[in-house]
Amino acid sequence: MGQILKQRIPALILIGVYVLLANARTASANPLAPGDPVDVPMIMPVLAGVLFGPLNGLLVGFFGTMLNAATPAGDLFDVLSILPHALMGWLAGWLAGRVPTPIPMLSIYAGLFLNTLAYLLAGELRWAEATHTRFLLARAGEGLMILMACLILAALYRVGRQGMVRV
Amino acid sequence: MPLSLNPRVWIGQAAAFFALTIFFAICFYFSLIFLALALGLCLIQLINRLRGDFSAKMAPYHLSERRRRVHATIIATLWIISAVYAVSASLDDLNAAFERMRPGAFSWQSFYDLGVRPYVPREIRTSAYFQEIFGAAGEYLTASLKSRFALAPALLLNCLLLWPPMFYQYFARGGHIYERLQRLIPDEFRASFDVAAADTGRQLNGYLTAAVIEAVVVGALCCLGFYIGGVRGWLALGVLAGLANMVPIVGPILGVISPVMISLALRDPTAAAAALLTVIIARLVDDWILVPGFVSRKVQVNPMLTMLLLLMGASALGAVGMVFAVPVYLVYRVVLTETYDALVRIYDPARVRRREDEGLSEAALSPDEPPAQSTPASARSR
Repeated sequence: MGQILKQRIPALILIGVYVLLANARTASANPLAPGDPVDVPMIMPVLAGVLFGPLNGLLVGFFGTMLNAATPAGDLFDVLSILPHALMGWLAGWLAGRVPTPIPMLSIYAGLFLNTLAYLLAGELRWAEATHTRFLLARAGEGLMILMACLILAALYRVGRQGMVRV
Repeated sequence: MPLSLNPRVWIGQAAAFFALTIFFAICFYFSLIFLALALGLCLIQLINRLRGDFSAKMAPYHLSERRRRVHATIIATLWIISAVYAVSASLDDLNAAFERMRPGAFSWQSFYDLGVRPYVPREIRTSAYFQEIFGAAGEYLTASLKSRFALAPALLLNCLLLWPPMFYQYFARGGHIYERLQRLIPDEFRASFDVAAADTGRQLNGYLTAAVIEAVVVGALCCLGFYIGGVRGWLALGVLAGLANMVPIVGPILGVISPVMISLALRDPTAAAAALLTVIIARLVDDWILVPGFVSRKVQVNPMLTMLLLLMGASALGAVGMVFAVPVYLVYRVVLTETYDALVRIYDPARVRRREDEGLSEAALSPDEPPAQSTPASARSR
């Protein structure tokens, strides 16, 4: 039981960081679509999956998004994103054991695709909006930003952990 | 255990001390070259670690050498592009915030009027003395920053000139350099030279690792806190706070000043409070978790001595001297201890025999050295 809890500590921390990031006062600008923000908390499920395995990725995606939906920053889009984010985290973890970095981090695009699908099915996004060039460019830029952030954070985590083991 | 009374030991010790002092005096005189060399060595260490980590991560995939290189190139390129983009975007954000706030040149008077005056109690702000101090501090800060930034192009040039040969020498002919150095050392000192080189490398490596871990953790926490708190230019300021943390004692204070001042200047007291809270949390994590858990195991320097070293470093080289104060002290400590041991073995062998008879270890001779780091001289001499 203690061992299982220990394995879930990173997931708990990243869920907390997810909610904090989602409630941040800073809005990150999208490089490909000026004025469009980047959904920075999406970094957390991918990072959890890549660094701590598929189950932690799934938990961070599911509970992080769910808790965020319950905070003042949350809205209907966050509720619709719960399952896509959970699947994205799980996919990142599943790929991390099979293919080398940075390919697992491309799961961010799967997450963005599933998000769009969920919004379309719920009727919160129209097909014409979803296929608009600006929307597609914004999602491409968002994915790229998150991928790069994941790459840096994963490398920093690994170097830091390696350094701590040596120290 | 009393120290040796043999004059030749102390003449040798004084010669070693003066040689080391002359070496560092030359280094500090050509401070930019020294800084470029030190940064190059840090970069080499970092690349070595990343290479090791990359090889370990890639081992399960059984990729060919060519594919592994392609992979490493892709990752390194993405890394560099994303880091440069992120930091430049953050600086742009900061610049845009200031431009929107006050078109034209920045002045300390306008900063005081907009960013500080509203938050200072009336009794204090009406005092002419307070305004005078603030103005003088602002002017000093501007002059100091200007002189530091003026050195940046020269440092860059030094790095561009020195790093390629350094990298070539280390990665292509690393073993040869050490062998050549060894040949310059007289036979009777060679064993001590090996031990001193290994000890110095271990201590500096431990110090560097500890400093980098602290900087990364504190920098990451600051970035996160500044982002959540809505501090403009959060990434650049977070990175700055992490780097400033490498300077012991005064670094954390330097790290908090810029985000708080900038947030106040942009008339955002919530962000200033969030920045202050973030740096306090980062300090608590550093002092309660990192320092007792990881750093103090490797770097054991008395806090009072650290303070003195910082003052000396600051007076010799300014901010750069403060960063290098503790590593230089570690080099002195290891080299002088090893030189003393070697000289005692050569010129005062009776004393070594007496010590071995008494069954005393080297740890008794240098009580400030942690047992895990020191190599017993008696064991080495055997």
